This record gives sequence, structure tokens and C-alpha cells, in this order.
Amino acid sequence: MKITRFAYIPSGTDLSALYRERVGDYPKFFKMDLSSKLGFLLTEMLVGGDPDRFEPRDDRAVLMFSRWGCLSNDRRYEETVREFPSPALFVYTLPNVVTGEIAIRNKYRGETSAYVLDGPDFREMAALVGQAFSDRATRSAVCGWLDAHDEADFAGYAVLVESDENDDKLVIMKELIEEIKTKVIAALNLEGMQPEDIADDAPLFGDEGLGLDSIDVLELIVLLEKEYGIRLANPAEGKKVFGSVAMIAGYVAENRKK
Amino acid sequence: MRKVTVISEGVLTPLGAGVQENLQAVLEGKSSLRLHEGTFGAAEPFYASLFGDRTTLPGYSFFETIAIRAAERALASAGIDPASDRVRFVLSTIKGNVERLADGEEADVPLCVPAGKIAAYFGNRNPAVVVSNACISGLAALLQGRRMLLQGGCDYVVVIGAECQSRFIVSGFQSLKALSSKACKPFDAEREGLNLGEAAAAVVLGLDAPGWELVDGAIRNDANHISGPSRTGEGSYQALKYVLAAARREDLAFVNVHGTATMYNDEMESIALSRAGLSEVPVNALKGTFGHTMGAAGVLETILSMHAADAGIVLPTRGFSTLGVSCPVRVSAQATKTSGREFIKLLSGFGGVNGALLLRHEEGGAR
Repeated sequence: MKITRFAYIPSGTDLSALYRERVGDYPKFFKMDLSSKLGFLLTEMLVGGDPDRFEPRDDRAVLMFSRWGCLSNDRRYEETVREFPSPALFVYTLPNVVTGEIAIRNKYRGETSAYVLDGPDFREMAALVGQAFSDRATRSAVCGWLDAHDEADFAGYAVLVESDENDDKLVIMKELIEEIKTKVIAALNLEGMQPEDIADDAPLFGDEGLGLDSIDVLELIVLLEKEYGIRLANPAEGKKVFGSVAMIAGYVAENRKK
Repeated sequence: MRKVTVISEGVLTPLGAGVQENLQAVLEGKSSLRLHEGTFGAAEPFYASLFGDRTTLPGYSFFETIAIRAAERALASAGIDPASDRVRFVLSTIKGNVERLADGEEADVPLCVPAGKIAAYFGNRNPAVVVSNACISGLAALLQGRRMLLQGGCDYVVVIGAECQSRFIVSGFQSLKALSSKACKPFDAEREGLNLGEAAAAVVLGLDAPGWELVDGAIRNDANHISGPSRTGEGSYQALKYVLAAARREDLAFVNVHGTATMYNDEMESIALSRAGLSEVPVNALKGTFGHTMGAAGVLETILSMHAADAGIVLPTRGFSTLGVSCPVRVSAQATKTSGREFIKLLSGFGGVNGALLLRHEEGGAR
């Protein structure tokens, strides 16, 4: 993962002016609470220039962190409670509504989450963002710290985090290896064996490994064709492919048809 | 890959303390939902499930008290030291101590404050993380716990979901015209809205222990509206699709849905379930028993679903009698038998969020 873009809104910024400069044609902005305005504008600063930005995407998460949540709006809503509770203010009393506003504006249909922490603990935020990338669909994330104490005292920053191609390959490979272990166990009827019992690099044949034989090779050939659309015409080729689960995964990744 | 499993649970609701008491109450069709007039100084009467005894621990708010009580119950049988630096606390709530705003006690309101106090009560010094994802918070917190454990930074995660009601929340839902004037009727043709509820529920999660496994989970946004669900159930469907990739469908006992009994939510869920090919799988909802317990719902409903599945039961959906959604779904009005060893917990909420979590217990009722 790497941070590819950064945006910052310092305290004292005229948010309406920033909106007019950056956006201008999204009047819903004025209905938003302070926290949503901050998150919304920070995201505009990060991705506003992207040519394909309004194409719906499922691979981008929105992860927002704060200490105050939407406290400034909670105060405003609380003032209305005794007389005429305001539904328009109430819907912004949820700390995650900012993530929804960003998702709606940008058509991000991936994960959206709001976290409340004691303060901008970078180590903790980095860990939580990293963990969010364990979702198999997530390839990038808009992540922000929204410090929305009140209309006179606020600030925020956001980053675009993108997964490295190498991270991706590693994760995909790890998942494929797990998947193949499960399928090998099922195909060869290795009853009672668990995926974790097979080491990634352990030889599958011979005395040191799983002790598979030539009939098992034929089963594995069927498995490759059935599950991944790979035809191994010559069983002798199997020897090269079926050395270990990691080797099978490598071969599948290169040659799979489905 | 390592497995994240539920080691122990704790539950506290107006129907009682303890998992078995609450499970029994659901099976007997009990509910703590009743009409409240003047409670919290609300202008109009409202139906809700509220705690009667509002005693607090000295120095703690009522919200903090119920969260601590639920966590204590979970920790009592976990056999772990909650003060260890290898233990993390994750709190799920939407509004926490918000009632304090009315008294001008603003310092207690940021959600990190109760989270810190609760973790400190157990001697834990790690940063307490609050997941506040509207009505899917509890599910999101369980998923967060799973991710923390798989990343390897800790050995146990205590996930607490809690919510107490207040004039702030009740007046808000009244202003949105989202409340039912009687006990709510999830998925029913005559449903007219939700009931609010109070509860606290906690689990201790660990690695590779026997018991219920959090197999996988997903959060997806509708990217459609901040307070209305998608008409196509898009986010809920996408979350379901994600977890179904890891499911063994023949082993799926039921889907425990959100089922708030609002017109839009239940209709949307029926569409999502149908799109995901789950029209034949039993579906149940617990809001007719406990009301909508907000930040507690994901944890509470997951715990009760685990124990029901262990007992071979699909829990009844109190309040439901006639299907009132456009897509066919098999809502369990009565308790039915199941031999399935998996279930899906489904939730949706404001901000357009939807979540699905897949749980599996390999040994069936062997706990």
C-alpha cells in the first residue's frame, strides 16, 4: 500500500468558498453537517481532477476517522429537541454519514466505515486502513481525519491510499494457495486433513510429502480442468506442475481459463 | 489461513442477563416492547424496549454501565486477562453517552470517551477503537475484530455493542416518522415502522479456538441516499454475494436479517435476498423482541443466532404473520428446526451502509 495523494483543510478555511471554487454544482453540500462538509471537500481535493471520477466503482473504500464524530451537529440538533426536533439535522447525527455523502457523490460502492479514536493516532489509523484492505474488492481507499469540533474550530486531512500491484499479487497468490489446498483435499478424499496441514512448499509426491501416487496425478489433472479450465494433455507435464501446492498455484495463476 | 472464533459471549437486555435467558425469552415469544409515555421527556408516546433498572456503576454513565456488565459476562468465561497488551477492545455504538448533551456534560459525549473508560475499567491500555457505522456498527465491529486478529497484532479482541436510549434518539426517530405506534412487525404486510431498544452484548474473539468461526464479512455502500435504502438492494446484495462466496449453501441454516419493520428496509432486504438466490433459505428477525438496539444489534443478534443454530433452531420472528414484501422470502414466524451449521447476519443502515457476516460452527451443537 502506498499514499498517492494528500489533501488538507486548515482551521479557519471558508468552506463555502472552497466549495464554490472546487465544486459549485452540488447544492446538497449546504445541507451537510460540518464533518460531512470536511470529508466531502477533502475528497473533492483528492479526486476532483480525475477524468473518470463519476464512473461507479466497487474497489474504493471510504474510511473516516475522528475524535468528535458529528458533535457540532449533535449540539445543533439537541437545541431543537425541546420544540420541533429537526429531521434534517437528525440524519447528520451519525458519525458515518460523511462516508455515505462521499460514496453518493463519487459513486463508490465499496466499503465505507467511520471510526472514532481518542486522537489522530497515525499508527492506529494506518493499521486500521491496512486491515480494511483485506476485503478482496478493495484496491484503494479515501482515508481522512476529520477534526470537526465546532464551526470555528475545525481541520481535516485526507489521503488516497492505493494497494501496490505487488501486494495484490501476494494476496491473490496466498488466497489461491488456500483455495487449492481445500480443493486438493476434497478431490483426493484426504479425510480429516485440514488446509493448514499442508505446507505451501511441501512436496506432494514421495515419502517426504503427502505421499500422493500416479492415480492422484490423474485426479489433479481433472481438478485443473474442472475448476480452472486448464487442460494438461500429457500426464508427464503433471510432474512439473504438481510439485507443491505453491507450484500448482503458480501454474494456475498463469494458465487459468476461468 | 487462521480462524477467528468466538470464545465467549455476554448479553444484557431488558428481558434479562445472560444468553440462555434471552434465547428462552425469544422462544417463548416474550418481548420487553411496551408503550412509554413521558419517558425521557419525549413529547409523544413511543413503543420501545427499555431497561427498568437504570442503576449505574459509581463514576460511570448508564451506557458505560451496561457495556461493562455485558463485557464482564463475556470475560468471566473467556479465561483471559483483559489487561494484557495482547488484548484489544472494540466498541460498537451509534450515540453512546449522547444523553449527556442535554445536561451540558459535553466532555462525555465523544464516543472515544466511554470506549476509553470501558477499556480502562478492565485495566486495558491499548487504544480503544470505536466503530460507528450507523445500524451496522455491531457487525462492522465484529468484522473489525476479525481483521485485527488476522493481522496478528493481538491475541484476543473484546467486541462490545451497546446502546441506551434518550430523548435525543427517540425525538430524532419520531421526527423522521420512522417509529411504529405498536410493537413492530418485521416483514409483515401491516408493518408501520420500527421500535427502539436498549441492550448491551459482548464477545471475546480469539484465534483457532473451537466454536463459531467468523468466516468472512463485507461492508458495501449503496451510494444512493444517506437515509433511504437502495431500491434495488444493491449494497446489501453485494455484501451478501461477497460472503456467499465462502459459504456452503447446503449448510446455511438461516439468514438473520436486519428486519427493522420499516416499509423500506424490509422491502429492500427482500430484494437483496432474492437477488442473492436466498429465497428458499429461512429468514428471521429479532427486532420484534428487542426493538432496534442500534449499536448493540449486530452483536446481540449474532450471539443469539449462534446459540439458536447450536440448538438446531431457527428462531421465530415475533410480530410477523403475513408476508408484506414484494420478493418471496421464507420468514420464520415460528421456531423451526435446522441442521445447518452456518448462518449469515445481515444489517443495513443510514449512510447507505450494508453489512453481511458469515459464521460457521463445524462441530454443530458440540459446544
